[in-house]
Amino acid sequence: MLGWQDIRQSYRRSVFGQLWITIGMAVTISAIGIVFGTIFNTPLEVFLPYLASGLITWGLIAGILNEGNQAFIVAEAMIKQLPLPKIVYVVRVVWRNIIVSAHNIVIMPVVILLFGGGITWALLLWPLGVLLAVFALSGMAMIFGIVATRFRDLPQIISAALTVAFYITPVIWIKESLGDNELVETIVSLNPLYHILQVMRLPLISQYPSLENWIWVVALGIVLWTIGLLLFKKYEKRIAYWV
Amino acid sequence: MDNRTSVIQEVRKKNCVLGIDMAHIRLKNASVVLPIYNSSARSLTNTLVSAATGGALTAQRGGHLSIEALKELNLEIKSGDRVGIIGHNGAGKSTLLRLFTGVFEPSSGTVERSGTISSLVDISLGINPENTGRENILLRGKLMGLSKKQINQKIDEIIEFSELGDYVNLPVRIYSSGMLLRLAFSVSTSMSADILIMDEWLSVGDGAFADRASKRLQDLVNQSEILVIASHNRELIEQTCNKVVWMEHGVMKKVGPTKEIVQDYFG
Repeated sequence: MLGWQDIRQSYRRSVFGQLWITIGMAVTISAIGIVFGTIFNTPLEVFLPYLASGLITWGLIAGILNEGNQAFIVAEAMIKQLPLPKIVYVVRVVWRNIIVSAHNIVIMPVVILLFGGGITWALLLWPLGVLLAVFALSGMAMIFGIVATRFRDLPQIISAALTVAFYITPVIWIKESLGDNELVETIVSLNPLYHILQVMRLPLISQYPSLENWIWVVALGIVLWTIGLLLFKKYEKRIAYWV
Repeated sequence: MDNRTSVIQEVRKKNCVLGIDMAHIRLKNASVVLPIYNSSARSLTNTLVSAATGGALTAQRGGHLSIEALKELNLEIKSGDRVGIIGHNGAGKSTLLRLFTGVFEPSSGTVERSGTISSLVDISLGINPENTGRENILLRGKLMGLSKKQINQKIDEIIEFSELGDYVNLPVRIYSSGMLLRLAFSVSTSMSADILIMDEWLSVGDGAFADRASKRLQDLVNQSEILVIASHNRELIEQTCNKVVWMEHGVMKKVGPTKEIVQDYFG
């Protein structure tokens, strides 16, 4: 409910309204697609679906993590007046980002229609991938949300780290195009965001996420939620003092 | 006043016999220590310590400063009580209200509550200027913990009371400040609760609306089992409350029947 509010508020007075979310993403994809498609020397019909799925998915990941750590900080007025369960504010951020991604995802069928790529059974895994990934990301948002409220340096650190993560995660570059580089291989496979990205992205471009991807994401979800819930149990009451 | 109190006491007796738990708030050694996490906190120390008002300042482990906003309060508020809270700015009145509503959990000690709580401290909380009045009523109702069905049952009455007419279908940002308050007031006072928390008596609008609003608020107060109101207004306290808490530097300086405490405080 509050998540919807946020979206509607931002676009209420513009002509295209929420369509701007989609337009913004479409423009980014086209621009990067043309430039990097040329640099990587990859045919557009391969590169564009890859890029579109990557950017849209990354948008969800970065959005939840970036805004998650601000979840309580921006809701100060409300927290100091209403004794709502604090998890509401985390759900609000996650939900808002899911809605944004739902606007962006409509780009995918267009890209596939224009450049080919087709629809395969892999697509059936997509809802599962999104569900597990969002579960893991929410756990992360809970942890960051609480810690960032107490230590105000964290939001800056996270936003810087996410910028770095964007480049070291194969969002716009293709891992295989770098050849057999062991270092790259290691860095990528130890990057939790890579696995979260894969389970959401690959089904969109007719590929199957590896077993390793699935295990990572499920394990992350369990570990992060355990930590998150422990933190909540211990510090939920302190949030009103910290904001 | 006496009449109402006796009716409530009557009901209370009956409920006690029936074994129904009446609304109450009970503080046991409740303290609220607010940490100040500014990097410049320490340089502020000297300035703040010499300030005449405010809670006691204490340096804490880790070196950061904290304010003991409320110190080991013991208080029992029972059904039928109309409690006035008086004291200087910074004496801990607002913090105490937040403790009652559950926004703050005590840093030590306990707060025990039973009964539904409605806070009229910030009635325009959560109002979204880009949304229409009607949408804001829905949102605000949700924040007050009502279901969609309950809100829909009340929405016509709320709109009618606010006298906004067709304006409810327009975005709130074009409202005058008076209209905004009327909307906020109408929603906030649409639900009765066992425990009402207020910071000063709400007064909104002009002329006829102010009268109707005042009456509506009075009705709401009459329906509630407990009223807690922080105020600087002597008359208000004298007319409304049967019990007064005098806060000073985060402790209860005096608690007792209205007449006695008000006499001491206002002189």
